[in-house]
This record gives sequence, C-alpha cells and structure tokens, in this order.
Amino acid sequence: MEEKKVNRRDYLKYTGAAIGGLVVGGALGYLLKPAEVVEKTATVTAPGVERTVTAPGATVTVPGAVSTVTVPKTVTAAPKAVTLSLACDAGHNYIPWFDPEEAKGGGHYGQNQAPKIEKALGITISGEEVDPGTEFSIYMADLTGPGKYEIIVYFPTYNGDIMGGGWAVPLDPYIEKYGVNMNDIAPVYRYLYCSWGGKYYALPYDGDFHALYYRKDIFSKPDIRTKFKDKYGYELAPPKTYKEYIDIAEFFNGWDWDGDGEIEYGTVEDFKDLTWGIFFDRFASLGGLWFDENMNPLVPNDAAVKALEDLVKIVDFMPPGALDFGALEVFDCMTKGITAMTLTWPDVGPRAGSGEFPVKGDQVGTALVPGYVVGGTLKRMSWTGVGRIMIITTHCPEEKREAAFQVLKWMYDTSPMWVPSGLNGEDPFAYRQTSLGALPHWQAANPGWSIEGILDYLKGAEENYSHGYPDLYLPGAAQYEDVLSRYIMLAATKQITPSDAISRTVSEWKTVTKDLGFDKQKKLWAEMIVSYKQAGIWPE
Amino acid sequence: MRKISYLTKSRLILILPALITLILIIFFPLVYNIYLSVLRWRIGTKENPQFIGIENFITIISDLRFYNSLSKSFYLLIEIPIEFAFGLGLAFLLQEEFRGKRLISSIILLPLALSDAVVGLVWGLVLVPTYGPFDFIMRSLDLWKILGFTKPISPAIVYPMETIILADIWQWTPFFFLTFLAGLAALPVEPIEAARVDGASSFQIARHITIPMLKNVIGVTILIRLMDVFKSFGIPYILTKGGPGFASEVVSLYIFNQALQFLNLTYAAALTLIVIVIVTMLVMAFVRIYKFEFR
Repeated sequence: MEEKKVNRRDYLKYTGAAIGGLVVGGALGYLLKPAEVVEKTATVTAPGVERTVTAPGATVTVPGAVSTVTVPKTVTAAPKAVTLSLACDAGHNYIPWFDPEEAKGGGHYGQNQAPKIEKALGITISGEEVDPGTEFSIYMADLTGPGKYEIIVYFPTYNGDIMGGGWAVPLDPYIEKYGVNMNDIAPVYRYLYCSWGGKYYALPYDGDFHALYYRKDIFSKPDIRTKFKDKYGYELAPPKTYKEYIDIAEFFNGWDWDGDGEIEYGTVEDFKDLTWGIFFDRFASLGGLWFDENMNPLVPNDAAVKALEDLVKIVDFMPPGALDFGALEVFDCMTKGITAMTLTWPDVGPRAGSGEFPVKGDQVGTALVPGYVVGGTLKRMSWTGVGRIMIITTHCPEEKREAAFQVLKWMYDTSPMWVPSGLNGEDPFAYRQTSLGALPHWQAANPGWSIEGILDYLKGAEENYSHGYPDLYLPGAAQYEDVLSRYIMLAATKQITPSDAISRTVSEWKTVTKDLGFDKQKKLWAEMIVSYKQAGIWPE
Repeated sequence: MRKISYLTKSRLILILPALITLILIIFFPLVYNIYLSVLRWRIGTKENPQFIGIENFITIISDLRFYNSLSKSFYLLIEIPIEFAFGLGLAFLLQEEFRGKRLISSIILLPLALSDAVVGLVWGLVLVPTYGPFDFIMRSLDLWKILGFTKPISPAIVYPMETIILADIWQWTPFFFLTFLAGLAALPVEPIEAARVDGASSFQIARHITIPMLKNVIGVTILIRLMDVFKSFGIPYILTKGGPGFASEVVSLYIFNQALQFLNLTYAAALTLIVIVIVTMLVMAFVRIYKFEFR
C-alpha cells in the first residue's frame, strides 16, 4: 500500500476538528445536563427538645443570664421543601451537621443536626467537607466561579474578602422576622464575626478565645504558696497582669513541683500555628490596634514592642523546644502535667474534663487572660481569632434564602447542645451556652467532668469571650498575619530584637497595604471600625 | 496537494488522543501561567484582571523574600551528593546475592513510597522535643550536655534547613539506591571479571570500571533530583512552615504562600516562570558539564 505523508494544513485541520469536537461536546453536555430536582416534602413537626433546667448542686455563680435551650416543638417549614448545599470544615468540625457515628448507633451528644433539620423543616442539606488548610482558596474559587455552595461555614478572618467582597447575603431582615436574640452573642462575635459595615451577614458556629489555664491543685498547696510569697512578695494566684504571669512562669520553671520525679516548667503557648494570636493577647491589653483610622499599622508601636518583649520573655520558662509545639502539644503540656500554666485555646478545659489525661478537669482552673494597667485601669483582652461563622452566599437563589436562614437559625438555636462536646472543636460564643441553663448539656457531653469543674470552666470561658479582641478581618489578612508571625518568631529565637521585629513588620505591612490598594483597604477598615465601635472595643 | 493515505490517517487518529492530552496537560498550563504572570488580579475580588505587562517581574527584582527563598532551595542541593554517596554505597552492598537481600531492599525502599507530607509528619513526630523519641534518646544518653547544649533544643527551630535536608535524605536515598542497583544489574560482567583476573581490588574495580560504566545512570539520577529539589514543598511545609521567620522558606513554599495564602495568583505565576527559567538553565548547564555518553 502506498503511504503518503500528511501535509501541515491537513494535520492542523484534523487536530483542530478533534479539539473543536471536544469543546462542542463538552458545551452541549453542560447545557443539556438535567435541571436540578427540587424535592417536595410535607411539613413535619419537630420532635422537640424543649426543656428548662436547674443546675443540680451548683455552688458557683456564673455571670450572665440563665437561659434555656429551646428547640421549637413546632416549626414553620420552609416555603417549599428544598435542598441546600453546605460546605464546612472537614473532620470533627463537621460533626454538628453530620455525625457518622450516629448512623451506627453511637452518635455523640447533641451532634448530627442535618437529619434533624430535614425531619423538622423539610430542608435537605447536601454537605461537603472542605480541607480547613485550603478552604479559603476553595471558597473564593467557588464564590467567584461556579457558586455551588449556598451555605458556607468559614473562619471570620476571611470576612474582608467574603463579606467585604459582597459574597454574603445580609441577614438583618431574617433576624428581625425570626426574632433571633443577637444580644445573647458576645459583642466580639456579634459585631466582628457576624457583621460588616453595620449589617449582619452571619450567625456564629464556633467561638474561639484564649484563656489562662493553671494547675488549681498546685496553686493551692500551702508549701508552694509560701515559697512563692517568700520569693515574690505577694500571694500566688491566677495572674492578673503579664508581670505576674512572667513571675509565676519563672517560679514554676525547671523543678519538680508535683513530686512525680520529673522536671516541670512554668508555662507554654502556641508559637507555631497562630503566632500572632498570643502577641495580640498582650498588645490588645495594652490598647493596641491592628491599624488606626489612617491605616498606620500596630498602633501604638511602642506598645507593640512592649507586648513582644513580654512574649519573648516567657520562652525561657517553657519546656525545651516548645517553640516547635503546635496546639495539640500545648494542650498536652497542661493535661499531662508538664507545665503549671498555659495561655491557649478553649479546648484545654473539655480535654482535661474528659478524664482521659493524667491531669483531670478538677485540677485545671480556667481564668481570664492577664493584662496590663493602662492609664490606671487594668485591661485584659483575650484574642478571639479563628472561630467559625455560617453565611448564606449570594449564589443561593432568592427563593431558597429563607430556608437557608432557617437552617442557620436551627444550628444557632441548638448550639448549646452541640457546642459542649469536646470532640468537635466548637467553642462557646453565646451567653446561654455558658450559663447554668446549659449545664446539663455540658454534663451530658462530658460525663467525666465534675459540676464544679464545668462551672469553673464556663465562668472562665465567659470572662474571656466577654473580653474578646478580634482577629484581623481585612482582605490580605493572611499576608499581614504571616509577616507578623515570622518576625515574632525571629524575635522569639533571639535572631532580632522585638523593636526590630515590630519596625520591620510595620514597614512590610505598609507595603502590603499599598499593594492591596491603600484607599480600598482604608475604606474597608473604616467599615470594620464601625463594628469595633459597636462592640465597644475601639478606643474613645 | 498529495492525498493522505489510509495508513497515515490511521496513525494520525491514533496519536491524536496523546497529542491532545499533551497539549492540555503540558502546554495549556504553561501558556496560562504566562498569561497570568502579566496580569494583576487577586482571587476573590470582583475586580477584573488587569493587564500590567512585566510589572510583576519588575517587582520580583526587589523582592528580598524571593531571593531568600531561592537561596534556601539552592542550599537544599547539598543533599544530592549525600544521597548519591549513601545510595551508591547501599547499591554496592546489596549488589551481591545473599539471604535476606529482598527484605533489606524492601525496607530501604519504604521511605520512597511515602508522600512528602507523611515524611514531614514522621520526622516532626520523631524530632518534637519533650514528646519525641529523638529527645528521649538524647536525654537518656545525656547527649545534649555532651554536645554542649545547656538544655534540649528543637532541631526544626534551631537547624530548620538541616532538619529538612535530613528528612529529604531519608526519603530520597532509596531513589539513588534503586536506580544504581538497577544500573549495576544491567552492567556486563566481562570487564569486571577481566579486571579481577588482572588482580584489581574491589575499590579499583568500582572506581575505574563500575562507576564509569554507570555514568549515564548516575547523571540521569542526579538530574532528576536536581529538578526535584526545587519542587521541595511537603517536607518544609509540614516540618517548619518555612520558619522560624523565613529561615526555611524554600521557593516552592514562597510561591505557595503567594498563590494560596495571600491569593496573589498572578504574582505567584510570575515567580513560577522565573523558577522555571532558573531550573532550566541549571539543567542545561549540568547536561553540558556532565557530558552524557549516548551511543
């Protein structure tokens, strides 16, 4: 058979035809895909979990209104039975929506709300777990692209991009219509997590804060108390100022204070994962701001230097190599009896309360983070970074938004049941979650924890979130925080001075702001300031 | 114009899927990357991408963080001769048949089967102070004091780059071992036997016969690792996150941070192009200097 060579034109023709075929085929496939089926479901009456509780044997007074957890017995179903797409952090943070153990008959207390929502409201939730490490890019790619998610749960640090970017549906009309009591949410979450420019766009899902944990049993030992008073001239107690905190950390560092034959240490904080948070506990207590009205960073700068100097001081009183500890190792330091104190996430309380660690819940006290005396007044602020909120995206069709809000409200209403579990990582954000009314849920979710231990934790939790200071919720937050964290670590490893670290951070933040558009950032920050003022955090 | 034969048409149709795949997975991302590099656009904003020409590249010129990350990636290159030496030594040791050879070879190859992220986690758990076995051994044998440390340290904090290199060596030495072992198995035995008859020692045989005959295998293995070192991401990300400070922020990690943490995708695209050019130049220089011997 005679073989002829193909010429270039024919070759291109065939190749072009094949690629064209693929493109046309793909486009037709997309256009002809079946329309989304809207399921019809009859109105269902919820099973009802309505109860009012009096805490048995409570001996500690918990501030804040005592409230009850009420899931309405009869709920108004959504106008039409609908399916809503949800995206939430993968893993344990997803359990409040879907608990895989529930299907096996071993569900965790208060979790798995999505099937209950379906039963009660006729709203089917099609959930998707998203990797928390890359969720921002996943969400932004979806919001700016296909828009398949109608409800998303995300870290409020992305508020600048998501709320400020106009991707969230304002919730004020629904909040008013359904009578959601926003006053029950602590100001920092209510105004900084959930609102933007004076409007509500979200309901909280997870409230985070830093708390001071200390070894209650060790702090109460007479010989230790005497030894401490002899050395420092005042009574050993949970520190109220960072000066006291450093003293106590120094006192407990490098000796066997619990008599187990091992050397123990003063304190530990998480430098590895969210380094800027432990800096902001101090800086905010000194009256520091992320930016002033004119976008000058870390104002006042000398307070930032002082905060970093004090942060660096505690490195010497932490376990060796603790700069490499992530959150879990930090928690373990407390629950395994390695340090006398820690200043970290809310998780330590429930972990100790679980009874699964050498140090039990009753041995750990929870207190408000220390602070500084500024202008004659002791100011103590707890950084409330991370956390999670629920929003309805603008991709959610108008006719489904009310149903979506009902889902958000259901989760919010039932939160006192699912927040207490130490398994899901969700932390209190509303007063009724830390009031006496919620105690039975804490007991049910943490059977190994004594009432006194729980109440001590709830009191400490409420004090901390009531003194909450927000994370940065501006576009580019990750970049600002990355720069700050890296210079903090350079100072913590004594490669540069705290003063140098702050001046370099300030300089780089100005560049970041310029790159992101100074006027645009300033306008968005001005909108943030509205929320700061509403929360009572902005200096007068 | 000549007509195309049935055979030629058939061949064209057969190679077409491969060709389209090639275009889609190699050329399209590259062209799209070039396109992105001349834009200003951040993911998540409603603003349209804006054409800015070479502005991103001009910014790179004064980007000290990029130079720092590039220098960290170059620093990683020192692991290649170490992996080479260990890999070659192991290959020579396991060249001969003996009882248990397969089991030992399988164990040596295990780290190669792990993902970067797992290797990072494994080494992180091994080296983490207070809890990890490394610290336990150092304390038990009083090695911290013997080595002059007043108290235990975290290697990932004090020696971040060296810790990454250690984990890399653990993971990639088996790659050198595997290719060298395969190369040795493929060598003709006659020159070696002849040298042995002439009274050459094992070292002389290795130096003057075996290694020269492995030249191409060695060259290709080093070349692959040379390119791979600049892709190093998983281990630094898990072990040190580029820290403390910027001490171990290798170039892939910096590009990742720009693209997916700071959402500065177009700037990351420009950085990527620069790295592609640098790696290509390195590869070309290596090929020119090494003088592969192809028949």
